[in-house]
Amino acid sequence: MSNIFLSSLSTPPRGNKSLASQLGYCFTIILVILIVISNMITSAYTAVLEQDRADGLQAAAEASAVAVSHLPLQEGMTFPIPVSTYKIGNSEREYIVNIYKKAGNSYLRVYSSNAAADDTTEQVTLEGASVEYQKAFEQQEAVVTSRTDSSVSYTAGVAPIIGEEGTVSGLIEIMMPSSDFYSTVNGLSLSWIFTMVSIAVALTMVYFETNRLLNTMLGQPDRQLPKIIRYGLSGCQSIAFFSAMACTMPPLVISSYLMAAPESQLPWALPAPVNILLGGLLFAYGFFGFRSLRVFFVRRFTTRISLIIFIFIAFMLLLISSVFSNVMLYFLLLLPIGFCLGMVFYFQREYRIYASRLGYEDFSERKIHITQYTGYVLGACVGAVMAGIIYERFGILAVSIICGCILFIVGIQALLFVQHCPPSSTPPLHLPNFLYALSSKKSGTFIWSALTTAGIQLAFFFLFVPEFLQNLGMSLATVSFYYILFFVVGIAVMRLFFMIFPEKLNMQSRILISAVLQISGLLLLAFIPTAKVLVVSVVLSGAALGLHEFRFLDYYREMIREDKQVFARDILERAFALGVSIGAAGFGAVFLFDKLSVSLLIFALFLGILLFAYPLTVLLYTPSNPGGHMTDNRPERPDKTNDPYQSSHSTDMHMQDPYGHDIHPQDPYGTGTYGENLYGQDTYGHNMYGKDQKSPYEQEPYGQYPNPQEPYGQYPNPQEPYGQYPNLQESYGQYANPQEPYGQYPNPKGPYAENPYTRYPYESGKPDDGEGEDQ
Amino acid sequence: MSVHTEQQAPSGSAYTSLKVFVLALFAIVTAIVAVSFAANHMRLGFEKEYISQVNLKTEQLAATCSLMINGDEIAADMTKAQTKYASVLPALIIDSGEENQSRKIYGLYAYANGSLTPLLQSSSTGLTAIDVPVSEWLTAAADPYYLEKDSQMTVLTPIKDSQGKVVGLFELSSTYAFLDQYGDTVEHRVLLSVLVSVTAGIVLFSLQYLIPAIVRFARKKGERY
Repeated sequence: MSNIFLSSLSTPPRGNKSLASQLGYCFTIILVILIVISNMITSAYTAVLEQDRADGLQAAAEASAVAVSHLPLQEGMTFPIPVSTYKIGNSEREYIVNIYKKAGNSYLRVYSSNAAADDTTEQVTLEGASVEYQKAFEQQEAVVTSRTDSSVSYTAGVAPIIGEEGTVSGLIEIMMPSSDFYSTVNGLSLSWIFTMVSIAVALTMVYFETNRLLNTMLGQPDRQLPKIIRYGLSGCQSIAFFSAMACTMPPLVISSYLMAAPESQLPWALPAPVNILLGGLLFAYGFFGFRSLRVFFVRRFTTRISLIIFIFIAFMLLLISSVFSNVMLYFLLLLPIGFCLGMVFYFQREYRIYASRLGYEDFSERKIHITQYTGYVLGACVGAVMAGIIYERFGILAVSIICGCILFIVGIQALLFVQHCPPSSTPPLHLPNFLYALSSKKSGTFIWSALTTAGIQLAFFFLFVPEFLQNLGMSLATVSFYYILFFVVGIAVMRLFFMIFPEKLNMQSRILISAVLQISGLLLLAFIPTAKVLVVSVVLSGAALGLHEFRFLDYYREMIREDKQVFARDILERAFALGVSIGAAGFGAVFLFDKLSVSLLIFALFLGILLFAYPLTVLLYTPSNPGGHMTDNRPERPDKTNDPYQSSHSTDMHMQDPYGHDIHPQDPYGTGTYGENLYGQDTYGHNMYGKDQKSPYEQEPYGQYPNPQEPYGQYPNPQEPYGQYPNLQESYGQYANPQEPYGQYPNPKGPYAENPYTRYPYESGKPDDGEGEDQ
Repeated sequence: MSVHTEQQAPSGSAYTSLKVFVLALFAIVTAIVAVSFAANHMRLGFEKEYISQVNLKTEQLAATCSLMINGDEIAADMTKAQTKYASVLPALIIDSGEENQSRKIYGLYAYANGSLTPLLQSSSTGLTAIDVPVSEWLTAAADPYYLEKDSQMTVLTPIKDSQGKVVGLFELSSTYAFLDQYGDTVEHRVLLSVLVSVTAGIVLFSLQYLIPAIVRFARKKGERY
């Protein structure tokens, strides 16, 4: 036995065991310390509050005694001054005033402000009184004591009533329930306990991520792998974590900052909720908008350099907005700050796209996305705690500085872990095309129901929840508790669920369940808008958003026509951004009305329409389908007449080359396809492929239809306008052929689909070894 | 192609020392920041609760006192009124004199021809009615005027005579300057105790790494002899 004991003493914990013990210790110590100091501070301040309440009781008793001193003490007398009140939290309650007349050895009550007691016709004597009452009467001094009446304990201020002749004729008693006397609204409340748990969890997470960061930075990368993935998914998650941590802080403090701003500084004397709405919208638009500008910067400066530039600019703007402490300046800078912070996420998008194309099984786009998403949610949990802690304790300047420091860590990580990341090159998606995609019956409603509503949920968490909790008088750090809850349900529980029941749900079922969960959560909150119900809403939202597992892109690609698939990612991303804007406007607007329930209910109904649009569309399609129930996860091929976006070639993407000539996305020449000319320039004449890169059309003049033997055979023959390509007017006739579902178009399941480098026509078929020139 | 998606943890004493140093520093700093926030958050909450409680009490006491003051007496004979209220007001307004308590000061003024004449002042400092422009507190409705600045809440209540004409002013102020000092002391003590306990915690935690090293060292030494 002693040997076992000694052997355990002689081997310190190592590896995961050591890390687990460190994390457990970190969590426990922080939580215990927080609980202990909360108790200490509560005791210290409760004593002060009690002292003041006792003083208040005594003062009220003295003043009341003087007020009734000239009145005869008899049954049916009235109290000459208004009954005083006391405050518990936000509620104001009346003291109970009793007047007693000395009658032999006891005291007879002649007046009570307690309506129920006053109605009784029976004579009531003073019961349960301590010797203090006698002392007050005999020594003619006011005292504070306690008394139990009808099994309720009261604390009372007692003063003698001295008549005009200078003799004591009775006592006046000003009472409040002892539960009120000893109570405080700021002690160890449930919300504060949750906040402390959140702080402990968040700090443990930061400890874990710092440990991971040190391991990744100081460890040896696998030099056999391409540069971008040498540091593994841990590097990727570390970047996601710290970037989310930094980017969460500025939007979360918007509502607190604008609520605390002096009215004189608020623009156009607008009420605070309007300003918060505007602030949220500006930040959301800056963060998710300006796609083409981002593409321009990334191509102009390369992905990594543009990230560093925008991190620096973000830091400077954050500093300027907080140093001058001017609301107008803050408003002006919210949009550019949002844009700069959005670049951090755009960088990770570029990383994901490029790394996933390398063809490594463990670096598929979905895996990277799930890893990044986990990092984002964890980072948001910690960012919320940090924002709450630092803003409340040290102000907005400290928030900006800490946020900037974390951003610089992200910059260093990006330079170290992502040594090569060329920008992705997708064709520009113009607004009419996007609107066209949204208006499609099936694929469009899918976008609204799945992607746009996900964006609205993001606005719910980052703009609604902080303002809602602020209005309830809770700390900003409490927001973190809800994010942690979201992480537990949306990521941990749902991942466990899909591990136990893999592939049990097809995408349509997932969207339907997600819609039911989301709308239930919001409706519940609309009916009972409290912090406790918000817990339920967050749990339901977490489950709803954890259902999709990032399968949207694949699903959507299968819904739309082959030649449109290149736009799929952009369409979904833009739809998500649109959802964030709608959410920012909608959730900001609900606070403009006095009745939060009603406004939230109206917005919930609107959200319900969006959420159920796709499930209802599917339901409407089902009866016409002879097969009845749609069991396949893959959607049906679009119907030519029913889905304009998917079938109408004549009204397809309308693009023009730099000279104003119409070009068709299906134009196999590739000369003007996707807004790019033969020289690799976009419609503005800029090189689309960076300084040192050639247009892939120059590398592969035949685009994705290489036919070396008939190099020009694919050009449209005026007599056979569609050459060897399917006649557009009969294009769906070929889809209908089960043996050639995609007609003569390259089969996505064919050899090109296997090679990720041929996904886009202008990409070289030669696999990138990742050793290219550093971007 | 399948690859390892996680980095191998590096080894080496220099690395371990750096890591331990960074993580320990990080743990101490974050614990102090978190506790500082918690202490400050609770302090602000309690201070807010206390101030709102004191303000309500001051408003009500001022209202009660102004009901007790007869405007006709002030208008008729200022000297007589001064004598009377010098004995009545101290009985109404109790200042406990406790250190951890808000202090109350009051003053009674006669108002005539647009100016105030002090009749009674419980303190030579802190009373501000003379300095406040008459137009601010003298309104048609003669409602109480509230002034809150520098940890002090002041209520100026106009006193009317039986004709409804304003003939005097009662001033009651509650100061809670002690709150700042009290809060600083509490916070300082809390932070000091946290610093000590976190450091002690890290030392205790490191024992699980130190003791095995000592045991190994002792064993090796035992084997040598």
